[in-house]
Amino acid sequence: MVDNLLHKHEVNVLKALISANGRLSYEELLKKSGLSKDSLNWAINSLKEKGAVKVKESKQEIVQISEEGMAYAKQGLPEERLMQRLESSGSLALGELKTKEDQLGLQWLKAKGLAKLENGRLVLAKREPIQAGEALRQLAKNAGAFSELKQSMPDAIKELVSRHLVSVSERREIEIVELTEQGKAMASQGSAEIVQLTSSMLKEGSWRGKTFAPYNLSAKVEPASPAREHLLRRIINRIRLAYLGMGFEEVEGPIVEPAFWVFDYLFVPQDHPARDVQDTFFVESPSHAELEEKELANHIGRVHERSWHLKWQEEIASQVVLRPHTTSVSGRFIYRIMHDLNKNPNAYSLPIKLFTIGRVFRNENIDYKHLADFYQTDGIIIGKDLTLSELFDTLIKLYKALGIEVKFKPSYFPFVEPGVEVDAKLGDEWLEMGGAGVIRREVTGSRHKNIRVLAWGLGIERIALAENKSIGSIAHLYNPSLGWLRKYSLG
Amino acid sequence: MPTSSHSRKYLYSLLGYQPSDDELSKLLDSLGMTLDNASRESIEVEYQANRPDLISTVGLARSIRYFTGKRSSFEYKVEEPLQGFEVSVGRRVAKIRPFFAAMVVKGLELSSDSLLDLINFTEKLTITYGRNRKRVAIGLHDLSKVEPPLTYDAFPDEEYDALRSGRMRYSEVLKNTSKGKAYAQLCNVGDYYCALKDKRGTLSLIPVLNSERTMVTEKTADMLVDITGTNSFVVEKTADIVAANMIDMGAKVYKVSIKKNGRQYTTPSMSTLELSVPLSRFSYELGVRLAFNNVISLANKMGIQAALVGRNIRFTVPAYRADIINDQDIVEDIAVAYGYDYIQPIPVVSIRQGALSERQKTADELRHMLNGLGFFETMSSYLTNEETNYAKMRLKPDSKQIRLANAKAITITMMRTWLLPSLLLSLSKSQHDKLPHRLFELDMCFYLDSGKVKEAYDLAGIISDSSIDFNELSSVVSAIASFLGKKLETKPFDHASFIPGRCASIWLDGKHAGFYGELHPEVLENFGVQAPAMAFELELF
Repeated sequence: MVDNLLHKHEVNVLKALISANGRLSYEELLKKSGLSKDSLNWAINSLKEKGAVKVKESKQEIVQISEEGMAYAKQGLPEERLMQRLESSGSLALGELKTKEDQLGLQWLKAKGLAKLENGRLVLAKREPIQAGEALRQLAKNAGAFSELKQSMPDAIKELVSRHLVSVSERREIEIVELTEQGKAMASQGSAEIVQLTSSMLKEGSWRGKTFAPYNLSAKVEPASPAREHLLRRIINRIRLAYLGMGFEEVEGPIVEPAFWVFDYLFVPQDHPARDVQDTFFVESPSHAELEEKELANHIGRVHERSWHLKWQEEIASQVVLRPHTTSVSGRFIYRIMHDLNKNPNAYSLPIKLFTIGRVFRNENIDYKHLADFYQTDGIIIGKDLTLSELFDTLIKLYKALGIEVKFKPSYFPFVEPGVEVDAKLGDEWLEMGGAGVIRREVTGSRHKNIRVLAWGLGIERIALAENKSIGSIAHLYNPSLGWLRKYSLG
Repeated sequence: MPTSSHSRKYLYSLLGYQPSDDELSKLLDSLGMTLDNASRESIEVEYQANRPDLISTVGLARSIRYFTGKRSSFEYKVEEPLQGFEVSVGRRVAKIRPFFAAMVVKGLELSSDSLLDLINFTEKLTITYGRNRKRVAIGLHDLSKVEPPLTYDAFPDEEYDALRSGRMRYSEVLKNTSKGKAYAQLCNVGDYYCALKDKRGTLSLIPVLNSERTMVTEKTADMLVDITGTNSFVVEKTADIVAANMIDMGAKVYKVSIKKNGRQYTTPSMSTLELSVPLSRFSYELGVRLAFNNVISLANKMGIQAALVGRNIRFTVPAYRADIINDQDIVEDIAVAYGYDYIQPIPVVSIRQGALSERQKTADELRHMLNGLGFFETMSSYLTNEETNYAKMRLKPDSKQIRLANAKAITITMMRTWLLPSLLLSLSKSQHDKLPHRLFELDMCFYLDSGKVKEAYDLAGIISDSSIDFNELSSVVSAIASFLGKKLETKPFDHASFIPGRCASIWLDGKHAGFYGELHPEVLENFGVQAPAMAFELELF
């Protein structure tokens, strides 16, 4: 009889089914049994395994349109927009198709045979509506149209999915539960054993002398998903602890900065490609910020003109940007501390060790693999007679705390000399992690020749990859879905 | 890092031996370069952006030969100007492209490899170091087709035999050729066009397109090179680099005499930079004990001549090294020659204790608490758009937003002013995942506060389930207030993102800090969220 022992929930389900002539929809069963969804699902599955019920399931396809997809649904696919332009102007020179959007449109028009090149100009080859665009707009209006569209425009749907504009997943749901003959027999038998111990049984002592129905100890359940630190936060915190253990102090600095602190103070010439609108985010409002340290700005301007043979313009330095690196934070502290030390060499007990971790920004085309903001860490040591030897030792120890092997090679950054590239071992390959070096005199403005500044700037996501091989791709770190967060809470 | 490509055959012939790729890769690493994409015929090398002298195969081979001790001569001699060969620079280029240098090269024995290297080098240099030909551009001409005297100036529109394009007017070249369109604004000043002309007409529309007449081929033995640009130093250094390459290719380089504003000067200057550095500096900047003869031989490995003068070492930096500004750059070259691999790590001696920022410590503890309450942390982009930040939340854009001027991605227009839209985006991507959904974010938001940028840390949380209990949310908010040690008051609040009558403002110690409530079904619809949801957001610091 042991096999036939029923849990309280199972009994509930069987009773509900019997009272309804053996057949109920899931929703009715939910109401009649008075169970929660989780308990009901468990009971149905358990009864199914015992052969007491039969279950009819429905399959449902869930359609989601990505953010990019939604944008295209509104404005049209890149190729549709390009096609419109072609229709109105007849042809377009390749040179005019500069934006990423144009390039995408061009690729798709060519791939679909709708346009071709003639004498270096793009012309229409065929005039026909672009099915993928039609399908996308219909889906955006009504996701329920999916199954119909899959029949009527299968290629368009396939294309939308492969372009990551639309994603499809399947959901199975229990629709109808039906009692079997065996189930009926089981329901009539019942059980005299204690299925669930209650507090009243304990109070009254009525459990004494009775036996307990055994649990199904091999029942399959989903693992619980404890909420805990985000995977990326975990790595950031490991790095913070590694710094802390090495005697570093955590500091913070602005994200929205005048170009002065991001570039000029760091000896990056005003015509350097990194300052291009192609790479750096410029802020529209407020577009300029007054440089508070007038004397410093003038001094830096003179240093630039002398070293880069280029007229230094305060207007360019005061443009507001989103910091492309956290070295701007180091720069602000280097300035403040060196300013004090120049006045009084005993202003601090040296060495001073500081670090910062924060977001940085690159003007990129974003998709699920590339983000425009990510994390970086910068560190500095200000002290007497510091050399590459101390720099290498610090970086080796920092990475060692994270279980990563590093090596160094010569490199160039305008604000350091000597400059160092830091490479980390990832499997059999060496991956570039960032840069380091001894900060130039032009930046530190040190009046005491033996006080020097060691500095580095390192990517966090790459540390994450080297530290935890199961991540695979940086894109995963930013996956916002709860399903992913739950999965990685167990890792 | 920029890359340039090199023919294996040509590189090996210049090196005089055939290193294995392993050996080459190690050599390049030591010199601060990287071997990339090796194919059967050629290799790609990443070089540092401040070393335009390493772009050409000739320059690369030069640095390897010095480094491996295969070369010990430091001489780069240029000959005095040839009689009757002069260039005058007109006044009309002063505002658009004022700087000019030129040289005559004789006795080149070009092969297809060396010609290709020369052309690749000029293209690459003018794109990278030349900032897409703006700072500097280079023109190569077959000297035998050139008839002095020459003039560089901006001229009125006229016809010439544009390279591989037939006879065209300047204006047509700018309008109708791909090079013309790309560089038109560097060439065109009012009705005038920068050009180099000789007795017979246009040699080059600068910095756009040469003439067919003076085209360089493998048979060209003698060349005229013109270098123009907007930065005098960069033009000078480019001329020096070209001259050094030509000399290393076995040619003789003659200076050219240039007349500008009544002044006369000759190019390329090929002037070396003399720097004196105390011997002791190398030991205490590199953490390695070095005797003077060590420093001298290390400098030689980098192609720099050096000699002991008193207690100083005097370095003669070759003209083609555009990157060396002062003594600090010499210190780096000595470190590179010594080898980063041989520099011993030495610990920093310090008794200072480390410390985390107080603000971040509070944030850490709040995050742990929210985890304890079953909320998962999300880490979303700080960048967003008006649609997500306002419209989908049933709000009108306000003037407090920090707008971006130049984002490439169409989905980015501004910095987020609050966190809830980020949480709703996460929810929208979690619709297949089992309920309940509990998410939080503790991170930065950005807005204008009386004209100044405010970078604030907000804490926001959201609970979505098939049915929700508002008291559960209230108890979370109250737990946060008591963690922060602040007195919590709530008042009915109107917020378009929430259902009227189901939203309250949060006051901490008498200060308005945030709000919480049940999200408006329209907001849920806008984000494709299929279960009811309630949320809170408060500004922490």
